[in-house]
Amino acid sequence: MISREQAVEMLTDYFEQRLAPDLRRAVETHIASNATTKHVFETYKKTVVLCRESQKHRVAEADFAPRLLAFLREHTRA
Amino acid sequence: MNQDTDQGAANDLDLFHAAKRGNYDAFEQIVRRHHDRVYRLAFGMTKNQSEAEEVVQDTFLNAWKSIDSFRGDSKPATWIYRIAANTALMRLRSKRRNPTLAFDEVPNGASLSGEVELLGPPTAWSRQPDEKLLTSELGSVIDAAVDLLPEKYRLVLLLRDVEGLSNEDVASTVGLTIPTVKSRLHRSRMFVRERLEDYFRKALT
Repeated sequence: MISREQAVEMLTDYFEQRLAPDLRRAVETHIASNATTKHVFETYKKTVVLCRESQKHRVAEADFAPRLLAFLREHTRA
Repeated sequence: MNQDTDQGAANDLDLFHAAKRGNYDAFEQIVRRHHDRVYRLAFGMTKNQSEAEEVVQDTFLNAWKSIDSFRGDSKPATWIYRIAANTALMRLRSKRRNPTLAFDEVPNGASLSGEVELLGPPTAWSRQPDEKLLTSELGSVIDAAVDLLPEKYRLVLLLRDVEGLSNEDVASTVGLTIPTVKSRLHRSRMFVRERLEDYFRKALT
């Protein structure tokens, strides 16, 4: 019987393709054995993609870089 | 241009070592290279443009002041993220505006099935193309879900899933063990997934 912490580690390692082949097969068998589990796993993967895609385009205003550099020059140089 | 700061060739480590020697041009290159990522993390944490800008300013100001403490045993980007994370967390703690979930309200999510109750038939949103799903409305749903996470969970999610740091680098950045990073990441993802499940059940049926 594995602990809750071990189960979470195994799932995240599976998701990141870091599991040994035998453990990987065991997790895949578990996922495929139940429609709800399969759905949750697929939507878990999709959540990671959507989260990244929705956040990664956030950029500062175009004039922020020169303002930042000016601020730093003012506060770091005697 | 100084050999230390040759933009084409210099890698982050070269720039950090040059900055440690007092080369301000090298420091400005570090700022130019990393400010977008620091801003994105700061905005993800504060959800406010002017506060995010202040976090970025304070991050690089602190970086310059403490550049001597950079020993090269972590990646330069990780060192910057660590300062940014601490700066953002300190700012949030000093303000405490928006309610977030309590620590134990983030689903445990030890398994993918045992603790998940689907309230209705599953919707097939995992099979839809990302471009079709990514509407501004969905962006708002994701923002709201991420914003509800306790700060320490949100930080791990942003560093791992948005900034693309490895679990090891996230652990080094936020001062946690790798199993704790994995646990917080998993619980955060499961929490956001459940918010998306609710959204798509209404939107796609």
